[in-house]
Amino acid sequence: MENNIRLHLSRRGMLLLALSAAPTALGLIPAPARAETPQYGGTLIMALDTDPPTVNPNVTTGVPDVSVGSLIYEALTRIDETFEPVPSLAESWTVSADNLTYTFKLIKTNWHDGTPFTSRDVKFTLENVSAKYGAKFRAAAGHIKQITTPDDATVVIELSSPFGPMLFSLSSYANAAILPAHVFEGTDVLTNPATLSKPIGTGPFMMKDWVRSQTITLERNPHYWRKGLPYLDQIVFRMVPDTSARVLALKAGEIDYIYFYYFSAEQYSQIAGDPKIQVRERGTPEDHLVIWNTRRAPFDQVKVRQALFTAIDREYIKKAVFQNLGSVMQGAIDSRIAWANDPAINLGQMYPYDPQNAAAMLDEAGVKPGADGKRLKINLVYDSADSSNERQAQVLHSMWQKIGVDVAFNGLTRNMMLPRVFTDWDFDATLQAYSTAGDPALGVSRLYVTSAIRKAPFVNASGYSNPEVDQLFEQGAAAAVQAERAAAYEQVEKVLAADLPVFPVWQTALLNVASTRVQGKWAWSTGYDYWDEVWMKKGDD
Amino acid sequence: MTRYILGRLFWGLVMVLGVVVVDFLITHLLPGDPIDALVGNYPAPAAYIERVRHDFGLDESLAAQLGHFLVNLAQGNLGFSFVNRQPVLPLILDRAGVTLILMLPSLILASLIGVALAVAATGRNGRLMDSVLTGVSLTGHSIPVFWLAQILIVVFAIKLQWLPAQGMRSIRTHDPMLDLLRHLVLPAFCITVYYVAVVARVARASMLEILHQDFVLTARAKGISRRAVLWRHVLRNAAIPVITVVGYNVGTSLTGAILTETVFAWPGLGGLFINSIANRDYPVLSGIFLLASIAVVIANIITDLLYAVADPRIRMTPARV
Repeated sequence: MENNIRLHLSRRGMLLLALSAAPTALGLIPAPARAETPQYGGTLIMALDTDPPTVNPNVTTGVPDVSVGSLIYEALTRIDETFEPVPSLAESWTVSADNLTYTFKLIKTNWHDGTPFTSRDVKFTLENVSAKYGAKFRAAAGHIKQITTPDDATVVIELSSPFGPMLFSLSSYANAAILPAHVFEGTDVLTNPATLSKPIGTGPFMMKDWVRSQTITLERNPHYWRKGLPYLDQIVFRMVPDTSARVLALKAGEIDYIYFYYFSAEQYSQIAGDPKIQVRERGTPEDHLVIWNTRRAPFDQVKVRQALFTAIDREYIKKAVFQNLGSVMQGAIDSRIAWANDPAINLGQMYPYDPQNAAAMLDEAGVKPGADGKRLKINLVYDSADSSNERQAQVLHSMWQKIGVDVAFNGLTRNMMLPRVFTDWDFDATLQAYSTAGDPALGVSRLYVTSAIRKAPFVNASGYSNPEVDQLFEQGAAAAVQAERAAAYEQVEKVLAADLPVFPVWQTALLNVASTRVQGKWAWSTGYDYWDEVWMKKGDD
Repeated sequence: MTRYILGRLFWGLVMVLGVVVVDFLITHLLPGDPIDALVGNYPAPAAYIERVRHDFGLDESLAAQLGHFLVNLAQGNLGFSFVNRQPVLPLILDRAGVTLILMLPSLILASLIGVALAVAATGRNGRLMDSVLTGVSLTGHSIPVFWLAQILIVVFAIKLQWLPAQGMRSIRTHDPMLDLLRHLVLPAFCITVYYVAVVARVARASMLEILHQDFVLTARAKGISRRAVLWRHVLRNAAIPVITVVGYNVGTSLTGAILTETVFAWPGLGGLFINSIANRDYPVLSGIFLLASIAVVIANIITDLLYAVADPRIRMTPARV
């Protein structure tokens, strides 16, 4: 038995090293010189900012909650390094020809308390938890007609209309981690101990103990269904509220890993060149945008928006504001969701930086300079806690000044910025970072479609409404074949490149940083990773 | 004396209540929505948001929320934290304890060093030593604590690797007491440096004033040594402002080290306070305001009592406010 496991592992180990070498850090770190055999044991320490309010990844999109919860709870699918759904609790599936019926075959395993995992858990969770409380599962839930369980190991999900990112939406990233029905049934999901602090999952790690405001310790699930995994004995989440304190702790060897959400690109220079630290650029793509309030004149005019876009040099913004990391965004869809992005659409080529031309375009649009040479003043609202916003605002100001456009800086705390922009719509332009949620139907359409013009955070704040765009996004979401979906998104990118209700500026550099002792599949997918195939190099502890 | 203390306690209670009500109103009137912290930033289902609002009483009018808060408070119930999903009272007491582990030793040390420095500087008034000590205490007072903290971490935790960079306990070592002491050194140093400067400046100024009074000259004329005059006569007479400052420091110690706690990830009340403001965790904020104002009131009463010990001429009469 022992031998079998070792053999199995060494093959798996080779495979995972081959895989993990592929996305190595976009050139940020050299690939390991030689493949090494994974080692068992050890404790990996990750940074969080604060205690998570819950450990249930289905009732919130809060980062600490999902970071912890998705190591304990698992979903039907996982998201792999190419953002494709791959089997997890569902070992296989078939999709009917009309893309309306998904039949999942489940693996055989037990919950951490020993109760068998069955199709009943899946049906219960998706209907009673994900559909009701899962912000990211909402879109999928709207398409589900019914869920049936012909036997303990089979789940059939019938849709009322096709939904492209269905399998993606069944991952723990999208609020669809499967919860134990026997623990949650008949209780209040939000106050159940398995939501708040005593999770019972099927995942590679189990809750061991939680010292509030200090650490959360997870221990290895010895009965984990992926044989021989996980490698680590323990994962400890350590609360370090301050951004620079996290980097200092990493440098001092007191934590081993910082997720990109907790690491600011500004700190890159502090760790670049440190031989004990490695960087991997990976995670659910996120984009920095300038969103225009198209309800207000003159920003309701396409010509004015095009002129303002022509007046900004995004390459310079990337260098001056974002340490030259990441990349300039060339279309409404992040280029890292490669299948949906049309590289032929290139905003940099369509609107090359040209202040003179920009001024002429404003003249044409009737926005002429007054006696003082000023054409207009933009009320620019942003979250002041993110220092890159402050600098970006300054750079934009200096660029627009050249064409007689002034900026009123409105850097507000996040809690004040949110209602100002998303509830009161009291802004001309706002600097925002939107996650793509890994799929245009989940994270990008909410910026542009008419149905997303709601008084709620992080939806369509611009008020932009275009029936053609609505229809194309609907097509992109409904087609189940990726090529059909891609065609719709390429078309929508074209329309949005002409209308520019939102300026795509910068594709966030998602820098995950770790001690060089961390090996294997770390930071390899959405950012909320699975960590069962991660191991710690021993020796220089 | 008892009447005096009871009187002070009564008015202290009135003040605490006032502080809590005003703070309750201010925090609730701030723009911002606790819901964001509860369900995340991604647009959540409307029914879910309504449900959470209802659960936490956020759908009620401000007056009704204040009413509930006061009724609960009268029953010793400080409510339930939205963000930490825990009852507020044990949560803040736990964190306050952690803060005191850091603050009390630092304040005691700072007070002793501060007074000793002041005596040394006063004893050499006008000489080089005085200027140096004044310079040192001024620097200690004006160094930004987050800067000092980061320098200390870089030097002692990263370069020399003598001490831990953050937190209150290590994950990879197992001698809890020694481990705690090692974690205390850097943050306690930061706080001590600051308060040494505060105490030393006040003590020095007060002693210089006393030094020029007739009875000091008389004491010297009677042949008492300079050192004995300083320690026995001048210091005691200069004690009132020093007691005021130390008392004030102790009173505000619960919320006095927010920056230090943040930089060193010390899991005390400061970090909870910042996080609760960011997330509009109203019950926790009210709880912290309550605890902090009680601490100030009690510290003030003790300070007043100490005045009488230091200077028997001061009599305790019932407070009239």
